[in-house]
Formats: sequence, C-alpha cells, structure tokens
Amino acid sequence: MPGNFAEIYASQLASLHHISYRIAYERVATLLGLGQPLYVQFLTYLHEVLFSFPPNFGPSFEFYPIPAWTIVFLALRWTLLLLGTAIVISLALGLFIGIFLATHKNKSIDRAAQPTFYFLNSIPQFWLGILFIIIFAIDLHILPATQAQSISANPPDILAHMVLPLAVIVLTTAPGYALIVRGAAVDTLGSDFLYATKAQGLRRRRLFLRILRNSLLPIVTNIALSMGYLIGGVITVELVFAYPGLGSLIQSAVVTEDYPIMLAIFYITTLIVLLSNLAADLIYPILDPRVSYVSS
Amino acid sequence: MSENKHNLVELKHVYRYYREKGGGILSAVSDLCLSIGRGEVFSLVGESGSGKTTVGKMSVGLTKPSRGEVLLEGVNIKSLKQEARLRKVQYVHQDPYGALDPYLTVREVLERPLVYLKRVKEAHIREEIMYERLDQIGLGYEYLFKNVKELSGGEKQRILLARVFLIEPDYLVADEPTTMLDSVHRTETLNLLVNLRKKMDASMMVITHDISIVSLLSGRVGVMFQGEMMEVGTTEELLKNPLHPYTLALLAVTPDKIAKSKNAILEDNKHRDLSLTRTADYKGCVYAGACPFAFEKCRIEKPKLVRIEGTHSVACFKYPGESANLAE
Amino acid sequence: MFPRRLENSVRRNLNRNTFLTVILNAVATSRMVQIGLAITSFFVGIAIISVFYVPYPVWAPVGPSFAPPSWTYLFGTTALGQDVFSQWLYGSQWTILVGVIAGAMTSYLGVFAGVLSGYMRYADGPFMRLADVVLTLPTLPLLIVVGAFFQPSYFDVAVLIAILSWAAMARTIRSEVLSLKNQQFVEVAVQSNVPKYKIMFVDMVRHTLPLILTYSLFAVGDAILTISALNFIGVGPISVMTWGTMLDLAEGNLALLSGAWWWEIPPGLSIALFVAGLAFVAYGLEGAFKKM
Ligand SMILES: Nc1ncnc2c1ncn2[C@@H]1O[C@H](COP(=O)(O)OP(=O)(O)O)[C@@H](O)[C@H]1O
Ligand SMILES: [Mg+2]
Repeated sequence: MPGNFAEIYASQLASLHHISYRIAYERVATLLGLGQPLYVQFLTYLHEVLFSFPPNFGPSFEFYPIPAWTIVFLALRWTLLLLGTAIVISLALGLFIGIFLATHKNKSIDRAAQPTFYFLNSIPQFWLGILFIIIFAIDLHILPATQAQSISANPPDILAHMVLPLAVIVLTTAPGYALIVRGAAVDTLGSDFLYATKAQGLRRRRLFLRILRNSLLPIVTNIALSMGYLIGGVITVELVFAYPGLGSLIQSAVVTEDYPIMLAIFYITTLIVLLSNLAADLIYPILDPRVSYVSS
Repeated sequence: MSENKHNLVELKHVYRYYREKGGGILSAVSDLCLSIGRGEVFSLVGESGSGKTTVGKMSVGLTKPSRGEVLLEGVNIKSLKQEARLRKVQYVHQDPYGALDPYLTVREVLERPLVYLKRVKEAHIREEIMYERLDQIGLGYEYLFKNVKELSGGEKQRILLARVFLIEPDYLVADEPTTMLDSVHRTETLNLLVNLRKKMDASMMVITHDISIVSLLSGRVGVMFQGEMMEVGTTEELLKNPLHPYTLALLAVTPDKIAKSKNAILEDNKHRDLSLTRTADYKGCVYAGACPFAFEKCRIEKPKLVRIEGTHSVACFKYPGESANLAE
Repeated sequence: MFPRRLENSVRRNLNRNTFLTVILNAVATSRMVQIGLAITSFFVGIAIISVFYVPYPVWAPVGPSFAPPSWTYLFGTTALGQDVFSQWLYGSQWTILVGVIAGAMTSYLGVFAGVLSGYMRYADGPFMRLADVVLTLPTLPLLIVVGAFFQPSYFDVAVLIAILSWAAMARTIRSEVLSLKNQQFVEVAVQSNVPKYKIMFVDMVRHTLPLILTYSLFAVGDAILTISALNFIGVGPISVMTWGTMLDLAEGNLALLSGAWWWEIPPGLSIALFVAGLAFVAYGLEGAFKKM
C-alpha cells in the first residue's frame, strides 16, 4: 500500500480543511479506532460494510465528511440508467438481428455480418467513445460529448447526453448477442420440434414467437455471466464522456487515493453482478423451452 | 497356498442396482453366484440388457457390487491394490470403437500397460514384446506406427486382444468379442481368442448374446435373464439338453435342429410382459411374465438354482432337485 | 530380428498429426482463419521488429508538438513532441506480450481447474464453488482497486487477470471432461494402470484441445482489452509504453480538443484489429474442429 492509510487520510484532511497535521491525525485515529487491535478493527469494518444499511464505508477522503456510500449511490443512478438502457436496447437488437441472420443463413448478408460482428466485439469501448466524440461532437457538432445533463436539465436533454455513450455500449455488445441468438435460432430452425410446430400448422407469428423464446435462454445466461464485463465497459465509457457515473467517480477516486470510494464501488458492482446472476436463475424456469414445450 | 483351495474368481450373492433417470431403482444383477476355476472358460449368455456386462465388470473389479462380494483367489477384490489386481484380471470392452482412444497410436495403446503395469523398463524389451504380440494376432510390425483412427473395426478388436495378451492376466473377460465384427471376421477372431487363451493358460469369461457362439467354446455356460442366472451347465449339457424355458427360447432363435420344435415358445415370447419383474421388490421368477409354463407359484416365489445332474443346474420350479450352490 | 532402422522413418510419416492436419487444413481453406492469421502475424511481426529497431526514442521529445503525420514522423507527434510511430511500434511489444502471458495463464488455470474438477469428484465441489465466486467478481473495478492499492507490475496484472478469468473456461472444460470420463477408452487407460495425472493432463487435455485452443485465443484478446482499459484509466503500471498507455496520455493531453486524431487512431485501431484477428482465427478453427 502506498504510505500509511491514516497518514494519507490525515494529511489530506489537513490540507483540505486547513488544520494542523497533528490535529487531523488525532481525529482520524479516534475515528478509525486505531487504538484497538488490528483484527477488531477489521471485524468492525466488515460488520459496518456487510451488516448495516446503508453499508458504511466511512466518509470519503475527498468529500469529507460525506459518507462514501452516499457519493457512490448518487453516481450509481447514472450508471444504472446507462447500463439498464444499454442492456434493453442490445437485447432487443441482438434478438432481432440474430433471428434475421438465422433465417438468412449462409446468404451474403449473414456471411458479411459475422466477421463484422466479431470486429465490433473486439473494439475497446473507450476508444470507440473517443472516435464518436471526434466525429459527432467535434466535427459535426450534433451531440453533446460530456456530462449527463446541461445546467437546464430536462428529459430530452438527458436523453441527448445519453445517446453517444449508449451508442458505444450497444454497438460493442449487441453484435455478440446477435451471434449467440443466431446460433440458438439456427438450432431451433433445424430441430425436430420446429417440424412439429410446422405440422401443427402454426402461423408465422407464433413460429417467430417460439424461436424468440428459444433464443432468450442462452442470451439471458450470457448477459448474467458477462455482467462483470458489461460494468467494466460502462465504466470506461463513462470516463470518456465524463458521464457522472461510477466510471468517472472511480477514476477521480484513484487520482485522489480515495479508498472508501473505491471499495464502495467494488462492493456495489459485485452486488450488481451477484443480483443479476440471481435474477437469471429465477428467469430460467420461465424461459426453458423444454418445460414450455411439454406443457403446451 | 490357497491356490488349490479357492477358485480363481468367485462372485458371492452379488447385487447391483442402478439409479434410473425417472428416480426409480433398477436391479441390473441380483443374487448372483458364480465361480470360475483356473484355466476355465465360462460363457455368459443372455439378451441385451440382461446384466452380462455388469457381471463381467464386477468380476474384475471395474464395477463395485451394491451387495455381496467378489473374491479373487479367495481375497476380496476390494482389498487388492489396483496394480496387483490389474496384473491378474483384465476386461476387454465390447465396443472396440469406443475402447480405443482415437488420438493414440497403436504403439501407445500397447506400450502403456507395459510401462505402467508390467513395469518393463527397457525400451527394446517392450518393443520385442509388442512385435511378438502383433505377430501373434496376425498384424505386421508396421501397425505400431498407425493411428487408432486409421484402423478398421476388426483391427481395433485385434489390437485390444493384443493389449490383453501382452499383460498376460490370470483371468480375462471378453465382452461380446465378435458383435461388432462382420461375419467373416467373427469365427476368425473367436478362434484367435481361444488359441491365445490356451497359450497363456488363463481363465476367461466370454460374454455373448448369441448362443450359437457357445458351441464353438468348451467349458461351462451360464444363461442370464433380467439380472439373474437361469441355467448353468457345460456347453454339451446345455445345448443337448436345455432345461429352462428361457434357454429353450434362446436356442429357438438360433438356426438349429431344436429350434423347429420350439417355435411355439418363440411365438409366446413376443407377447411377454416384463414391466414388473425388474423392480427391486418383485418376488417371483423374472421370466414368469413370458414363460408359457408359468403357474401361480412362479409369480410369488423365486425359484433357486437346483442341480439336476453333473454340473447342470437350473432355476425353475418345473424341475425339482437339490439346491445347488455355485459358489462352492 | 526387428527392422529398427526402418522404424524411425516410418514413425515420422505416420506420426499422430490429427490436430495439426485439421489446423493446417483450416489455414488452407478457411477465409476467416486466413484473414485472422494475416492480421495477428502482422502485429506480431511488428512487435518483433520493435525489439530490434525503433526510429526515435519512445519517451524523448524529438520534434514539434502535435505535428501531423509526415515522412519524418509517420504517425505525427504527441503534445510533447514524441514520435507516435515509435511509441506505437514499441507499444505493440508490451501489449501483445502481456496479453499473451495473461491469456496463457488464464488457460493454464482454466484447464487445470476444469480437468481436475471434471475428473476427480472430490475436487469438483471446491473448484466449482470457487468458480461461482470468481464469476461474480467484476474484473475491471477489482483491478482498479487493486491497482490503486498495490501498484502492480505488468506481470502482477497478468496474474490478476488470469485469477479473475479462468472460471468460464474451467466450467466448459469440466462439462466436457465429465462426459469424456464415462467413455470406454478411459476405462482402458485405467486398466493399463496409467497414472491419474497422465489420464487427466494428457488424455483428457488432448480430447479437449479444440476447446482449449479457441478459449485461449479469446483469453488473450480479452486480456489485451482489459489491460488497455486499465492503462487508459491510468491505474497499474505506467512505466512501460503500451497502446493503452498511449491512449491514456493522449486523453490526458487533450489530444481530442487539439484535433490530434493521429495520436488516438493508431493505438486504438491496432488493439481492435489484433483482438479481432485473434477472434477470427478462433472462430475459424472452431468451425473446422466441429467438422472433425
Ligand atoms: N452405468 C449404468 N447406469 C445406469 N444403468 C445401467 C448402467 N450400466 C448398466 N445399466 C443398466 O443395467 C442393465 C444391464 O446392463 P448390462 O450389464 O450392460 O447388460 P448387457 O451387457 O447384458 O447388455 C441394463 O438395463 C442397463 O440399462
Ligand atoms: Mg453388454
């Protein structure tokens, strides 16, 4: 660890609030319970983090004395807005394009789409963000490039600020989903079960719904499993666009060595991944095509 | 010291249960006793699914019995170290396609038991043993350098045999050694097996669903049905004087003299209802559902194997006789 | 008695070459593999060249600030007048090297945990629970926190990435080994008294090699993307020039507002192309293995 935790804390407090280092250090020492044995300190910390609500990570170094959790929670709303919207759009696009490609299997559009999608999937998201800023904000001046809202915030304004970050995330994740859906849909189209439904004389719309349903299972699994990766992507994209979510917060925390903030962000992102996996587990039985096929 | 006192392999009241997909319990082998002496050939006959493979694998310790014990030279096979056991007993799989790793070369298949089991340290001695065995099964030395993938089914079967004869076990189980082969190679492979066994002076269990093969083998035959032994006797006794209704039915399937007179049984066999007999709590004779001679007692009580004459025993209420304990 | 002289020549010709054949076949026929190989070998070639030759010192100012691309400065210069081309050339070395090391370690852990938990029943529970835990850890936030606390070296970062990414591969390999384990040839190997570790790490690994190969290529690509993001955020090692570091420096020096696109395009596009090239090879091979 770079330097002593309490010393950094104290010196930051001292310079921020124009008090002497000694006084600041004493305050920090009482606040952190430095007199107690190490394991007691650690257990107290764990207890505060895991068993109290809201979890208590202590005050932020940079924004002392505001609790780190409060600051992280404010940023989290923007990240969740971006993440949630991006997942919904990517999911919808992935399903639509994937099924389209499956029904046009081995036609030229399908063959061109695959390498293109692999390429889109491989672009560093933050770099695509930079490109978009160059093209849309600097050269064309059509979209705002930074922040989440102007001083006069209203829904259309917030939406306009979301467009570029969203586009980056969707453009780099939807192709992956489309490829997964394509694989699943190709399987469904080729399986006996589809012959059965054809024999039953189902209409096109019902058929489409069946394929849709069979493709949802692998895609939900994938989203849940890749949630950690998705959050990583959102964080870097937010950084590029100075979007006031967790990404920008974690970078400023790194610069100011604001450890409570960093730990709180790590905690909340882990929680999000955990909850999304849990949600996926709950959705499986609803989506499992075999279950639905038997019952219908 | 125990060499003469004990049979080489003994199965004492072994049971084997499998958990079924639906959650039920399948009794694959139940209350089976069997002993095989030194140098003896024992054929195990029964239709597919009757539990032959399970018996064969249990007799070499590859599958553990759910109840009962398997003895090798009087010692429980469980208590033997893997290496000691494998030097004495080997099992040859029924499907040569699945039994040989397609990514191996023939050389690796044959060299592995020499290195890890026989512990032959010198490479040139291993080489000589492999050449010799390949020669004995009628394949040239160049086969050593072939990939398993390049071999035909018959060649694969031979390599599997060569592998066992390189180990020179005291007892081997050949599971359906001819099933996967075309008719031309069938007798050839069987003869090869019999000859090699003679050379090694090993005991052998030959498993087959084709009773016509039994006439080519000497020694005793056991007929299995639904996990139980129906009839045991020498090949002569069994083929000339089949007793159990199921054995009669089996023989009827083979083109033989006896067959014609037993057509009626074959017809009956088509209508058999065996759904009940395989569950663990069924008390009657497992063949009762298909047996044309079945009467009330057959469905309530299980017939024990009884000795009729010589080594010939049968499990059927049609034949009264003294109780035979095959494990003795 | 035995024709031993012949043996060697025969062995050479008939040697086990199934995988190599499939791979060579894919290289010869699959457009996807060809393009992927062309891209990746271009960058690997550049990385090798950069070991021996870089036109200008990487860190030193050698020209005017923000000079656009010209014959003197192929990719222009940075805010400090450093040569972007030299940085890009030199950056390829470290970006690819660290990616390959991280990817290799990820595969190593994934294969080890996957084969072990697939083959050994007692290892299954612990390893798969561990995998569950690892799968819920958000890689980038964790790396940022660890990077801020400990100032890791590139090797440390590679190790960390491996520790955070082996789980998905281990799961897939485990389920493959679980079904392989019941095949008869495994019983034959057991009957030959082949030691367990040999069955697991020779036989099982050989059968899962197509899987391992494609996963490893993806692992390298993912590692490069992660490291670049980490560099871009500015945590972790900064003493060595990588493509990610270049992007971080460009961002920090307001390259965008100065219109210095030549500073942003080469490193970012190279990352995208190299990672996509790896993906092309992986998908192409996967297709070829499926037909095997
Ligand atoms: N590993 C196993 N799991 C579940 N059931 C099995 C297993 N092995 C065999 N069985 C069942 O046990 C019965 C006997 O099988 P087997 O011994 O292979 O018969 P055979 O070799 O005579 O065809 C069959 O009904 C088979 O389905
Ligand atoms: Mg069988």
